[in-house]
Amino acid sequence: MLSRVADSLYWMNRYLERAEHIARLIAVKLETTVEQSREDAEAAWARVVAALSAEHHMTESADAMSVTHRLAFDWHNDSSMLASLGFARDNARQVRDQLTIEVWENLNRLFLKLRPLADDKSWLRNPPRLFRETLQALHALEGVTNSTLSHGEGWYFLELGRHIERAQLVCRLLDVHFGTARSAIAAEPTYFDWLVLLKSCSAFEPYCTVYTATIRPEKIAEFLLFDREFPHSVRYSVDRIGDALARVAPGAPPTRRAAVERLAGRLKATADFTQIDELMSGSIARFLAGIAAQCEQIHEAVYAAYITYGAETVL
Amino acid sequence: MSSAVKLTRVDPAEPGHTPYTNYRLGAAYDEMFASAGAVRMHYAGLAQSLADLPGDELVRRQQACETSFLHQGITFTVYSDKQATERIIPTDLLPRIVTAGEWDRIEAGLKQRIRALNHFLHDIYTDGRVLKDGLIPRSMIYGSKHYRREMRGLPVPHDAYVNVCGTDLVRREDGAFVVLEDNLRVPSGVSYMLANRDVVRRAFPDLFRAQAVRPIDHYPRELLATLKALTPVRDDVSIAVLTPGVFNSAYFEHAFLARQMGVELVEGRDLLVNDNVVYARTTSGLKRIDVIYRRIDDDFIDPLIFRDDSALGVSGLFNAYRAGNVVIANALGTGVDDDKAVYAYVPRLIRYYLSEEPILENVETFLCREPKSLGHVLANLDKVVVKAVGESGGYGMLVGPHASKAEREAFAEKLKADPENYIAQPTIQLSTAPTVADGGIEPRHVDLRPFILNGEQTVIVPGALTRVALKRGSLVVNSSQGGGSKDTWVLSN
Amino acid sequence: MFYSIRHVTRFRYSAEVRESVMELRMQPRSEGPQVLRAFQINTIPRAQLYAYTDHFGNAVYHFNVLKSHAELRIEAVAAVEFARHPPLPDTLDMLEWDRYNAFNLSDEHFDLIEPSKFSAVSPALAAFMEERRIVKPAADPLGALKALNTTIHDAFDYEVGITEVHSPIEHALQQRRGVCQDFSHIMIAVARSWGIPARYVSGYLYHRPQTKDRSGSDATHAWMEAWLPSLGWVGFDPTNNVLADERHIRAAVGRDYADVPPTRGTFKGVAESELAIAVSVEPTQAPVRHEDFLRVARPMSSPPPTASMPERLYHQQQQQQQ
Repeated sequence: MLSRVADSLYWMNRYLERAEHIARLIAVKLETTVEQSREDAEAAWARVVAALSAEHHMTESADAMSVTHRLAFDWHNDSSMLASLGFARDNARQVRDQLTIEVWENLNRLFLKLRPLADDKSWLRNPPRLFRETLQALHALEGVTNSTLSHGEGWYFLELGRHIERAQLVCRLLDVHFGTARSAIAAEPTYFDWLVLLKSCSAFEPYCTVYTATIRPEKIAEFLLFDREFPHSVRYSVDRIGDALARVAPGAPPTRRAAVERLAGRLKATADFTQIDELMSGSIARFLAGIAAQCEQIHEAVYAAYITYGAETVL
Repeated sequence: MSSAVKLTRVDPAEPGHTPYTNYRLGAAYDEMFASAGAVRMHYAGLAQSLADLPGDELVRRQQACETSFLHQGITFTVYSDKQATERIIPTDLLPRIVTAGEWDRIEAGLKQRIRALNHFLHDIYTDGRVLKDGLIPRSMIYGSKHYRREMRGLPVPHDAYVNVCGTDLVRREDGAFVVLEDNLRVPSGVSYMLANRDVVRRAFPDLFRAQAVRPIDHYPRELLATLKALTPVRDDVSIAVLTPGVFNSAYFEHAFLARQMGVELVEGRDLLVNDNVVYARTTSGLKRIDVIYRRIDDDFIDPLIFRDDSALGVSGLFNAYRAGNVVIANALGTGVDDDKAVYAYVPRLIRYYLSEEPILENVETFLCREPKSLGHVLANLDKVVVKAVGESGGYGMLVGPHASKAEREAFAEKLKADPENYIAQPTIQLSTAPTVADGGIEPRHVDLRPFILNGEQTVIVPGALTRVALKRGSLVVNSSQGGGSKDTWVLSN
Repeated sequence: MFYSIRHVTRFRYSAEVRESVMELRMQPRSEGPQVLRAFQINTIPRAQLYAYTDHFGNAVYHFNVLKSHAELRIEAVAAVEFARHPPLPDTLDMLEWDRYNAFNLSDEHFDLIEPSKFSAVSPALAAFMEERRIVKPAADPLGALKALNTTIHDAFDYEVGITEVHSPIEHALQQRRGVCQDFSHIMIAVARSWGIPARYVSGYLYHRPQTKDRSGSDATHAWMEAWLPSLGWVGFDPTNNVLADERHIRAAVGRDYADVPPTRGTFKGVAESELAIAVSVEPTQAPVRHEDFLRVARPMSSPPPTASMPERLYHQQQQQQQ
């Protein structure tokens, strides 16, 4: 596979994951704000903004709808949902010939539907529904990708992009609730906020299946970090990253694969051999930062080995 | 030529409900109607289908077709500032139909023409016999900005310089197909030919079956076979389509062809040359490339040799080509033939190289460098179109019938001062074909661009891109100026 | 007579670059009184060299360097033997103009009689010709070219840095200053306007200690050649107001500079490049000077390699034909 193509596929899915994450956070938030007190609602918004590292885009007096607009539809904010979707589409366009018509049409249609919302206010008519529909469309896109695209090298680069992004986003979200970013928010999370956290990861029902409806922060952390089977847990993403790395660049000689595989092994070991008790007694912030940093290192190693390598090193 | 048409009357059952209310025949040859109300035989099936369609069904199908194109990304992008708007090249649902007899003549004529053009290119890049014999003035060739001195003496596979050619034909008032222009550099449009077929086949499935339309879907396979036969490499030939990238208006076509052929779609930045061998940068390492079907102009293909500011090309590519380690299709320097003055010589080239009479005529062209022609042009300035040979896009042009007396007189002076720089052609009425317009059907002017594949063999897939001027009365079929396209049906009997 | 020529070119980049590709036109030609005895090119970083002959008969070497490098150094060493130039007559008879008619110039020398990129009669040159009363001569062409050689020499000051390698002749004409490349381009354009085939020569000049040359001794040189029916190609050096002789070592010929730059190249990376050139031409008996004479100079006759520019992609992608 062309290195440039791998690069585009990888980023296409990183951006799609980002868009989906934003959509879900906002959807969950919009559906639950109504039941909260004003202060709690503000703190909850602050958590969403912090989880998306979007503080600098916000102003003091922002109301829910203007925050939503900035996070979702601000075309000039490179990290908005719409911009992420735009970047995903740009990357998909670059490799249009590698995607099936179904994948392209689903992505393109969703983008063409949402793009006008940057400039008109029609989305205000029923925001929760819009975000639910967007999430559905993104899930459908993922389903179409999985079911129409051959699961060859390109698909594994998509997987790699999705899970490197997801692991980092979930780590960031957990940091807002358990780690260093927590202190920046005035109010402590309430029972209600823990529910929101679970829902923000589509995790409420899967969590209940494992732990019953008893909401305990350390159980939530354990579930979102270490559950092997839940697709939005960090451990799950780590395993998918490992799988993907075993399958990309099949023709690359072992010497070039070594650096990447060593990092993947280290990440897996970090996820496998850490106990939730240790983390809850104070080291969780460092742990989350460590996972995120290792994802970043894997990203760089993949680029060095397969994408931007010096041509002389492979002749 | 088309004298064998049997006329069928179409009388809409309810007068006033005919979609042809606004169908006014002009001086141009009409593809469907021999005269008012008299449908040519090969259009009878279509006419019947249309008559059977309920009220707004035609418009509905037309809209469905446009939506399908947009969603499939069969679009070109119009850029202004930071906004990028995607437009589709409008496809008109009503097919343009060519009879088997007409097609046979077109096919034979195009094959003859491409043979002569390849002989000519080979000649001007080797011995220059045609120049020594004085058939064509040297200055016309060596002075052309598309003549590549770097190509002199360089062998090309099968002596086939032009591997993919798109020739624009138009139908004169008398019904004869004549050649308007040869596109020998990087002609585009073949993906529209294929995509239009897909859409129209879905819109008129029964009609399509009933008509015995010759298939065109094997074009990508034929293109691949043509490209493969250009290299002596036999096992595991590595072929790539070289595109300028996604911002090029024909990018959809590049991706489409690469995918349909199952070959790599590469940009210049994917390739590098080491020790005269071309490689693509892949995740698994460098992959050698044997044949490049390039959709980039000569000027941009190698910044080391040609335009040094090219960001699209591959540095060192030409030296790899010279060393015989890679084949580039089309060969470089084929654009010489695109020159309007050289075009005028093609019938003479056919006689010179093949000792045959041209099967397809040119549009009558006067070379102002020839005193007799100049006299004729000056005497008929109000009837002709005068074009500067090296220019394109309407620059340096006089449209006689539309120009004022003063403009014509001023132009006459320019002509006399520099006759070599000009050619003149009579204004021609392109033929018209039925086209969906304003909810009804109206005649619109069309041309015809078949695609010729040429390497070890010459293959013409029986179909073409029919371009249509969607504005009433307009003769401009270019997509940039309100043109659309149509599916072209070549009948098998 | 023997010469040893050493031509060192060094590109230094402000940041590491990779995938350099270079073409070199610096091998002395072997024709007429000039015979090439030995030639060698070394590059640092080392590279495999390839060669071909271009359509002017110039030997072109090319190579590429994949790995990252911040400096690229090319050293060309040549040994050239000279027979004495056959003596030229002072003048030719008036029939020489008619002799041109016996040849189909547009056949034999089409490229060298038509205007070219750098050598065309522009309005500025036309004005200069009028000012200096340069008209198609009634006198014999040899005499006229000699006079033109002197006229150009006298009308311009030699000054490095006024014009660049890609400067059109307008710059020199405006400033009345320039270098050998400008003077040669001007003289070629005038000769062609008279109907005389003319070509550009890039090469080296041996600066005899006793000769006062205007051109610098540490650079490549350029002059022009005009074709005369009874003499063939005759070289004129308007920079130094002399006829080309056995001090002029020819490396490459072409329509103008654009056909024969000593180096032409590209690299990938974002970096400024700085070029240094050193040339020494010595009779072989004389000791070759030590290489510490290499110093940073203005790019006299080698354009800097072009970096690939991603921002151009967008516009150029849209520009392609059809």
